[in-house]
Amino acid sequence: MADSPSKPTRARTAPLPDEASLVGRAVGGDRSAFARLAEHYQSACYGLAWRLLGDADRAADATQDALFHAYGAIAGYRGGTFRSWLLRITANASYDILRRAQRRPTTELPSPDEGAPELPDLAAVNPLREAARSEMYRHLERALQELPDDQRIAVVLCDVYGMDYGQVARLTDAALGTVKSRIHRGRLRLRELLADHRELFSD
Amino acid sequence: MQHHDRHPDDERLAAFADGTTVATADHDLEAHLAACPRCVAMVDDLRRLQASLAELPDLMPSRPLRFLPPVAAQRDGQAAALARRLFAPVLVAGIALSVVGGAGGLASIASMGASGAAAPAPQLASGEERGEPAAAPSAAASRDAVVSDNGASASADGGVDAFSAPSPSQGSTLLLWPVLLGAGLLLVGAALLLRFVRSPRAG
Repeated sequence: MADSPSKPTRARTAPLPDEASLVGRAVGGDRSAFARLAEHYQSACYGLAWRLLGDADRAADATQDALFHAYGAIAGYRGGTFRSWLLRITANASYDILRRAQRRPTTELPSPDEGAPELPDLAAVNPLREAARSEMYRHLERALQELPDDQRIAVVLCDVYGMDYGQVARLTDAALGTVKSRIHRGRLRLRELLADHRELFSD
Repeated sequence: MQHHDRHPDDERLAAFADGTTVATADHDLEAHLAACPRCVAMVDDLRRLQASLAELPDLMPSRPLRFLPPVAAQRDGQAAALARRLFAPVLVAGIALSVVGGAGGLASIASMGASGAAAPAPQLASGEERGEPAAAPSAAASRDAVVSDNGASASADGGVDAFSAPSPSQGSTLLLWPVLLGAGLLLVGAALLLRFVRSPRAG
């Protein structure tokens, strides 16, 4: 689509053309400027929340929490890309929900063994994405959801969202070495899970 | 084939593939990779896997989200902030007025009792003592004081100079002290109410 908000090679929300001024106005208390930014980046936040939580409802809850929290915290925004700032807040909101779910066994997240994990309709995100690529995404998303929580969180934050080890360590309250190990083991496990689909990864 | 018994640990390979750790300076590993297609393939897989993860697209939320907190909630927040700011000053003003009113009332009753004209006030005075313990010692101390002493203490509090006429015009002072006390107690009550404005919503 000509009006697709995403670059064709990386279906990530690109910054708004007037983002700097919108952010400035939002920091100054302009509600409509904040709403515009929140609307623009909601799919970035939701994608992260969904990958961390593996559940559409919880992911929507986490994204909603994150947007409201961001609204309250916008006065303290200190540079960096707005997307990264919002994603850090979303990661925190998702992580809170995940921990709460872990503490309450009755509301445990559905385990990957109980049928196929719920997957978003990726074709709806970008209808023109070629079949092989969306097939690859589908397999990747499914494999991510089969990782143990610790490994999935580390791999999602680091490999999917480009956070560095230090950020992941702070977010998950873990030691740097632990984070590295989780990421490496997570990638190895993903490779095993995707062993039958290696052809999808040949670039 | 020839290296099968001596493949490096998978996590070591993953760290090498990562390219950001000390393992990049792992010369033994490099020597092994130079002769081991199996391990080269694994490093290659892991790197392509990372590239694919970095491409995963943003996802549209499963349900419509709000981009701004409801205005009512925001007003609640502002009301709570205002209540927090006002609590201490209102409480202090209320206590100050109660002390002045109570002490002045007791003093004037005492002086009227001395001149043999105190009829309706004593009940009110004892009520004042119970309602405002801080006033009790000073009231007791000034029980024998003359009206002019009391006028001096009132002007020390500032702002009541207009009422602190030392002349024994008892008709107006009789009215003044209960009014001051009443206003003070109302302010104390208002301060306590302000306290309640935020506590139920915080929970």
